[in-house]
Amino acid sequence: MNYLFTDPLGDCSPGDKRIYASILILVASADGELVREEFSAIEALMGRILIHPEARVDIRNLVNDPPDLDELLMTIDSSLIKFVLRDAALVAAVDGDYDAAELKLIKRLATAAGVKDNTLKEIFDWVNSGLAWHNQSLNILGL
Amino acid sequence: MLPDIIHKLPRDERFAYARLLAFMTRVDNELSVSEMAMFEQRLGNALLSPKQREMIRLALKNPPTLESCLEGMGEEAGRLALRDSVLMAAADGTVDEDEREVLEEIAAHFGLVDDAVEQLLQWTVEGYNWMDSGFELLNGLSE
Repeated sequence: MNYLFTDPLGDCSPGDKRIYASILILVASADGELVREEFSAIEALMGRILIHPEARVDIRNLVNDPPDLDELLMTIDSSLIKFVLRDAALVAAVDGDYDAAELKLIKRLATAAGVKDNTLKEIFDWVNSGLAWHNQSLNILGL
Repeated sequence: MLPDIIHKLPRDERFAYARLLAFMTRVDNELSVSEMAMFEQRLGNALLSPKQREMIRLALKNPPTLESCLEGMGEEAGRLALRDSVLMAAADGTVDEDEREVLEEIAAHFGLVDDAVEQLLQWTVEGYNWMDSGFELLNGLSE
């Protein structure tokens, strides 16, 4: 049976989870600021894959001392990069727009994952359909 | 993980929201990994303080009563908590009778339309399909 909203990332090593979240922080803060919406999305994604609360503290601190993307990509399990790419696209979209600096990092992730431009567009389209889906809930709730 | 409005609510309302979700996790006397992942995801979205999160996690062991959760809870927080209770109840693949009963009770408490829970369940299924299409897109990359 398929379960809702679980993810292969949930089963990866604590080290890979940390790298995953570090890359999300890097992408979200690429435009020079990490807005509350982005922070909320990253916290949700860290919760979703059950990163230990103490590890989350270290990851949050990376905002002040961002890691190097190439180093992170060299150490993460290569099969996970496509999931990092997907969630980076999600996080970058939550403040309403893809900033040029965010896009640059996303494209580097796409290259590392072997994702071509047309597939990257499909990922962006997928993100947009998710945003539309999520907004429907507010209509149902009358909010 | 998608843009939401829960993080914009006052801190005490976000705490009340999370408390209701903690209650919801124990309605069927089971807490699966899927439910826990959804619960932690929503806590992340709510941007609770570390201390509040600790209190909420303790509430998983000693869940509050539904009445105490609903008492004094704001309408916006309550409606969002209902939506996310539906997501959590469905996270293990099924919504059992006890969970459905509680969801209907919450919906009635906040004056939602009679079929609100049904609409939210349908919305949840659509979200599952959206997530699934994301997996398919990524899985296609390794073929």
